[in-house]
Amino acid sequence: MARVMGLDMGSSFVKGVLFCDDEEPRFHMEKSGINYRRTAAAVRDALLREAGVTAADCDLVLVTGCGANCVEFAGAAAAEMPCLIRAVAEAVRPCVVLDMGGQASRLGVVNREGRMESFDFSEKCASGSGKILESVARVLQLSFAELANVAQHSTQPTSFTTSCAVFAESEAITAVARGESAANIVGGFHHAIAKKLVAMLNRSGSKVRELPLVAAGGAALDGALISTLESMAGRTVTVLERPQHVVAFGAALSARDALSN
Amino acid sequence: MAEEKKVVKVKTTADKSTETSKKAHLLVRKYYHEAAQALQEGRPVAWLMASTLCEEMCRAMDVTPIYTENFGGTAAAMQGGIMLCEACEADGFSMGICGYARVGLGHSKLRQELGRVDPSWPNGGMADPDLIIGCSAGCEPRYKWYQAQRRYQQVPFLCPEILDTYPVGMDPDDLEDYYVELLVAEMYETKALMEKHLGKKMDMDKVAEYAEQSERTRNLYWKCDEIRRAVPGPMPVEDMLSCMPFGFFYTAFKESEDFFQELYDELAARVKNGVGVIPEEKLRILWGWGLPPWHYLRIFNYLESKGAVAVMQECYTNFCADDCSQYSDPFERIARYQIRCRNHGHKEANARHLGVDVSRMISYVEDYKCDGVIQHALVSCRQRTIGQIASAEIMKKYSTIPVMSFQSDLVDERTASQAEINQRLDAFLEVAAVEKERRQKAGLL
Repeated sequence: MARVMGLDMGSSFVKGVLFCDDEEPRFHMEKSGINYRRTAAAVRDALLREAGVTAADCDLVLVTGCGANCVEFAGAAAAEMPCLIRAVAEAVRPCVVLDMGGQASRLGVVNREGRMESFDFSEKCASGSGKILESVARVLQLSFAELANVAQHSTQPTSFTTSCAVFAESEAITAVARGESAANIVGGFHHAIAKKLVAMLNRSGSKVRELPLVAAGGAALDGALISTLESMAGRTVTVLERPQHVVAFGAALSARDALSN
Repeated sequence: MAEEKKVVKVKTTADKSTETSKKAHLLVRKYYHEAAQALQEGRPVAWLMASTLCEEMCRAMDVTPIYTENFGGTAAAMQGGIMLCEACEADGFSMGICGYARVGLGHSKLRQELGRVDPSWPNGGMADPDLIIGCSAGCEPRYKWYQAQRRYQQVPFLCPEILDTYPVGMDPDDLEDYYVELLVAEMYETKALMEKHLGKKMDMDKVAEYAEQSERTRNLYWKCDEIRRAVPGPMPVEDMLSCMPFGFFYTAFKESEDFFQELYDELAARVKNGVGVIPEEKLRILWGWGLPPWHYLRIFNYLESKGAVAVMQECYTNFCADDCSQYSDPFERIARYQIRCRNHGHKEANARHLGVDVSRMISYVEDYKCDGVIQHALVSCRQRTIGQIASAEIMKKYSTIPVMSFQSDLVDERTASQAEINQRLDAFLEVAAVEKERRQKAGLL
């Protein structure tokens, strides 16, 4: 067995997964901050410390994500989509996965062989991504974790004309000024994001509708968003275990694959 | 003693594979310098657009042409497009209008402010024109751009009517004579206007010589694209985009013909010796509908770093070899050549009951053995973007290979994030590899 690590250098969080021989995988994450290099080292060190091993004991560190280039100690790098698909295929196949990350949302179709058959991305901006929820949480002075609880009390979700991450903040402020409740504002943004994701699902064709739908990424932790998505898509959404770590998990699996090939 | 400052030259364009294409920028620069020299010597300069059918006339009248669309592309490739776009926008033009137009208008705005063309601008900038000759073919900015240009330059603007549309379902051969008649009439009118503005007669024998020259150049250009069908691909798209100006714009020049002859010879040798662009060509990509992102030509190098080669492009390739030497009127010869080249594509499209662009993509996918198609949705070019979604859907009926679209612009790098484009490319290449593997297993390759 090998000791391998996968690091997902995301725009909001750096996530790490360590496989140490046949032990249970270890997970760790930290806010990305403004120094990816330092955060990557912190995540690595935390994982190694927990496992009681040193960096020299680690056979391969594979990095992915927007900050991957900053990680000098990485032995290999890979794109995010293949890492995502690698991890999802380990859990369920065939399926459609929606990865709702901090910077973008992605859709991948995984075939029976565990390979990516097709894909789609949200627009080039952060529209329809978890970044909107972060903005809204900031305006409403809530933590990200509180959003789902608040949205459960939504009676009439506010109608928002945008799913743009930049306009979201000013639209949320306008809604607050109008006297809208926090629950309806969050509910409204859940609708706006879910609408984008459903449009992406619809673009992927009729075959995709028959496949199980799974969710990954930090925004998948927002249960109210997932419920809204289920209701708008008219199908069940299974949230993968530790959704934030799925890509890092795939990176660790890819590192293990690389060593065994 | 003051230490001499070392100027570090930053390479902005793509790394090229073929030796001939590495020299393309020198010839492009030469054409711009010739225009600057003509201006200095008091000889007339004309700004032209592609498809005006006026280059031969200009040359016959000793008018040095500059192609303003070509300037837009080269300015962006040299990372000088934004400065000019911003100058244009500062004068009230919308960010939504054609990127080439914004570069051209921005150039004129700055020229007006400075009172001269700054030699540090891409390719030394464009020499002041005595004439500007646009045309109706292609898109609406081609009318409006030069009209707006006259805010800055009070020079005659000629705009011949050049046909670019075909009624659906009609046999292009049945239309040829009508179209040629119109084009020839427009060319004679343009000739009369040029003679009036320049105060001298046009030498039609010289026009005939240049018409023949253009055909020779274009035929060689077409041959170079044909030989690129080979596996491994001998020449990637980024190389051809550097050479394209001599087959699409500056065709009535012997230097352009010589350039393509040298390129063809190099490509033939590479094909003979099995020399490809990268050591292992895992995937062959068609650069589909949409013009290139001139501001990010390294996109092709990025593909190559992942084992994929863009082996052919859909844009700038609608010329096929055709002999029109039997037509004694040089204008008719030019018009026939132009129409027949277009007819070729339209006939093929009619046979498929499809539009010409998507039909050409289907042909290229087959002929160039492509494993995937990349389409570029251009923020500032509706003409080359509308239809991309439909074309991707149509492609699915003819081929199982994946089609990817991404959004940026022909010159405006502010519209795109290279990191985001690369992310999409990574996913796309993965899907293309899976599909290629499936076809291999099914014995389809």
